[in-house]
Amino acid sequence: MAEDSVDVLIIGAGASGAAVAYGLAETRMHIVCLEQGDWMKQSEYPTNFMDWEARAAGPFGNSPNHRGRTTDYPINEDGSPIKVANFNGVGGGTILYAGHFPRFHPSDFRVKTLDGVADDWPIDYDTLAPFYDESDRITGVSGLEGDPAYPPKPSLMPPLPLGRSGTLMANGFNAKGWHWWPSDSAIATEPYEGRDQCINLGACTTGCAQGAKASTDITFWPHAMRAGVELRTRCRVREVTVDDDGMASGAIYYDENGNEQTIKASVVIMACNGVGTPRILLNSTSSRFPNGLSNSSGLVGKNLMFHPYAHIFGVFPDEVDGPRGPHDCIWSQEFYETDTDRGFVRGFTFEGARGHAPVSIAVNGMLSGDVPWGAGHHEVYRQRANHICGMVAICEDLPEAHNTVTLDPHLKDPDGIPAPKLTYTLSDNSTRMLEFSIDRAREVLEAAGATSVQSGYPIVGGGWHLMGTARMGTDPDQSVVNEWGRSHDVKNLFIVDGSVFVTSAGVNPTRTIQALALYVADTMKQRLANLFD
Amino acid sequence: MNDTISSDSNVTESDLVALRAVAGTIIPASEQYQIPGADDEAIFRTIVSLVREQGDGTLKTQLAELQSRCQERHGCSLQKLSPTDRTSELKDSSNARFLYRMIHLTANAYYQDGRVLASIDLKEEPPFPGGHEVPQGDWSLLDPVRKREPFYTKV
Repeated sequence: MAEDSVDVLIIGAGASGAAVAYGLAETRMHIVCLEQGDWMKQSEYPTNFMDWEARAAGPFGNSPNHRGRTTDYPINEDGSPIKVANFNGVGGGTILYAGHFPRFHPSDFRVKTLDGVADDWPIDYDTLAPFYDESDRITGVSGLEGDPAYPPKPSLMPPLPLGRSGTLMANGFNAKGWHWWPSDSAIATEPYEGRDQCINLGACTTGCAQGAKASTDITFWPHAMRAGVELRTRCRVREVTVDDDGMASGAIYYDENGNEQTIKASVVIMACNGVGTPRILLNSTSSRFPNGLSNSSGLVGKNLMFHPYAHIFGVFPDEVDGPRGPHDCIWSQEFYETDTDRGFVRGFTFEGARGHAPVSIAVNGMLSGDVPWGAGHHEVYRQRANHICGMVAICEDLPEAHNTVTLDPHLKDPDGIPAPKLTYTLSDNSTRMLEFSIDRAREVLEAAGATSVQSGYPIVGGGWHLMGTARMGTDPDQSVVNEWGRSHDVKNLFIVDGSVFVTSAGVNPTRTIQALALYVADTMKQRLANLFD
Repeated sequence: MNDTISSDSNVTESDLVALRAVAGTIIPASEQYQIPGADDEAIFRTIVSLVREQGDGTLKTQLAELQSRCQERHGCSLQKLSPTDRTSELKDSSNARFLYRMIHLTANAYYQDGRVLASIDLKEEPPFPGGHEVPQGDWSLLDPVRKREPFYTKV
């Protein structure tokens, strides 16, 4: 059998793997991506069925520990108040994300300089700006130009409708004199590049049966594959191998039958998210790299950042959108930039939510006691159904070395690969920010006419964003990869996912992950002649 | 109901009678809103399907413990209790896990029934392919925000 040897091996086919594959495709190198999951079928997404909420809590749930798919790996998250939400398959987390698609702000790259905390990034907003534009073009972003919270940025399609919920909340923000703007969304509001427009299915986080939401299996991947990139599913990588010179030489993985396979590669690119990437690197030990690959700094797996979320929802006398329409609606960045009078540094984004679906209202209401079971159920339920809307606050999480991804000594995936173990605590800064956000959101909802408001933090199952565990920087002692994603230790190893984030910002990361992956790919192309120098 | 329970299921016909009574206790029928309770035949069939999909072993054990307590306290099975006594028994903290599971099962089955959804102004069909109409809303509300000067931190 001929040796399986390629020029570029990409591990992971989610947001970053898709973008870097697209970015490198024009080189016509032999590029192979290994993905542990499957291709998804829109005809199998929950909204095709009456029991869509039950399916969304089952095989399309966002917890790998509860989803029951053989393509997942377990995660020991007993040591974290926030649990991982992900998806393993072509498209990765974009299969189940809401499609919130904000950019970072210029200040997000300079938190040390501005606020004296964490570290500055080795790149800035202007460096990424053209790659944001390119990512937006492939993704298809809806929104509205002119947001005063941002530098000017283009919008390719009209924004999602305000609807009843957005109108109510906009009135609340206006009453307070606070900023709001229609959300930038990775959701097509017009036919775009072969995708049909959004028809308001209302369950974006279960997979988009319409194909209007830009998951990377239907955006970047078709482009990359037409250009010759090969994508192999059901291939679970155990470790990255190294040669005698300390260079990455490929990977060992298990195929769909559980058979061990070896692939050789001249370049290896990690794109497995902020938990999956450190897991593989820490499992890639050798006599030369006894503590894991690219870990001479000891920082692989450290500085894990989520975005701690608060949820704040009001009950309104008037009917709202409820489950009708995409989750994305409006956002507010009134409290995004640092104001030390608030008692914390950095800030957060309010993201409006149109409402809840009928089963979730019933389950959450009956379990919390807000909606009785038995006598009186129907009367109270009807005051809640299509009458609840509100927002979440997505708070900037600062890097702390004690928040970690390590390898669990006992728990393993179906192929026997050690599972990741999370250790994470909410910081005092995050706690103060979360509490402040709840107080402000309550003011907005009450100004909008809410008759009651419920809130809480953190959203336990809200570990959607996994960042910081192999951060970029110019100092090899203080970072894992350099300013263009190349490992300081292994010159032909690159990382392009959220692991490389230096800080988390107070917005969803996918747009920045994709822009970074395109930026890394572009830099690699510019340096092909001396890529390993 | 036998056709909805797999042959190797642990749940007996007697268990089904009890579970149906519990479902109807959690979400009773309403004459005012002209909707069935969760003990409606079609809705309960969905509950049974969910039990089968998710595994019935734990539920069977929890139900047996509940039945045992009912016999001790009332001298009869759960399904033969008055609605008031059945409600009180379910609220007993020793039944918290059973109630938690039954609330999940009952709500998931009940609020996917077309008759119930229609009664709360939702479509009696899956979201796809019909989708929903969402009004544009009042975009003039954005006027005061448009007048703001850029306020992001320039670096």
